[in-house]
Amino acid sequence: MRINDYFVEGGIVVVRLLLVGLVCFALVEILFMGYGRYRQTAMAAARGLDGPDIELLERQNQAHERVIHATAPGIVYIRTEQIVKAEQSPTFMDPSLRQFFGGGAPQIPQDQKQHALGTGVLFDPSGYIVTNNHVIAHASTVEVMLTYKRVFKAKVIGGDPDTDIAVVKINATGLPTVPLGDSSSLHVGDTVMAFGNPFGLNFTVTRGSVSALGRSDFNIEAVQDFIQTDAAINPGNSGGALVDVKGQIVGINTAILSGNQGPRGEGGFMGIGFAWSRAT
Amino acid sequence: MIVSVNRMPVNSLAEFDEAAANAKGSTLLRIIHQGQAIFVVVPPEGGDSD
Repeated sequence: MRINDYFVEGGIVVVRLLLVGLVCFALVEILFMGYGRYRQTAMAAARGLDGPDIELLERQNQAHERVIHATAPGIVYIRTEQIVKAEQSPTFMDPSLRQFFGGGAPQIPQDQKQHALGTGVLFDPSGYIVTNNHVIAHASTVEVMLTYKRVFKAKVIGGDPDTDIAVVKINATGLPTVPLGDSSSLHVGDTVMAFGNPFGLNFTVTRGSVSALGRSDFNIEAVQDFIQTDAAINPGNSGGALVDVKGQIVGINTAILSGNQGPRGEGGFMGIGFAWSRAT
Repeated sequence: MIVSVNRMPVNSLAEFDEAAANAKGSTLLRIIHQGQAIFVVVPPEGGDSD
């Protein structure tokens, strides 16, 4: 071996050793950096995440809270009572059966009280409330409960079965109201909130989007412009407000779609609710 | 309890059957469920999607 070859071979060995060293160093760095990041994330999760993206979500939550605080005082709980004539079974009117019972028959009350609950929205500080006609239809008495549990007897000012809209009034002044908005400026995908008393869970707020506009053909002939939303609407929400992100009424929650009736014919939320459009 | 079909009050099963038979397209039921009033839209038979 010549002396030059000896030096060249030695150089190659040194370069190889350097490369191996670099690779090992890089591997160690990657492993430790990865562990460091993992440790950082784990520590952040323990105390809650932060950062510009999280702050954006927090600001969105704060905006929703503002809408809710501004709107909720104008939402009311409506309780109605209706006297229903109970049909007397012809069986009990049979003379032989009456004789069997010693001249009398088991008595079924002629009148039964039927209660219904719904929601309403204060739109005038002197106590005018808009709701669905089907909430107060045939009611003999109507009671209204405000956010702070104040209860009033209400008078039905008028109801229109064709549009399913009714107005009731309570004797009070200076009440908080919900401003009327412009439903014609709504777009599919816009955020909306539904305020109401589903299943008697008073003053519930749900949030969703406008799923579609201009829905019709629900046998409410006078209204051909329903807002379809995935904000949860359930029994008890009827007559409540659908508000936009400015806290303005864009619709009145009226109906839900139910393709799967329960054993007693009840309907539940399927992600499709309909609000009577304010523009109607 | 179903109290109306397509906004016509029903007071008996026979009235409900008659109203339901006459319904065309979607049927609008007024239901009092555990004391809560709600309109429920029932799509016509065959209108369901898989």
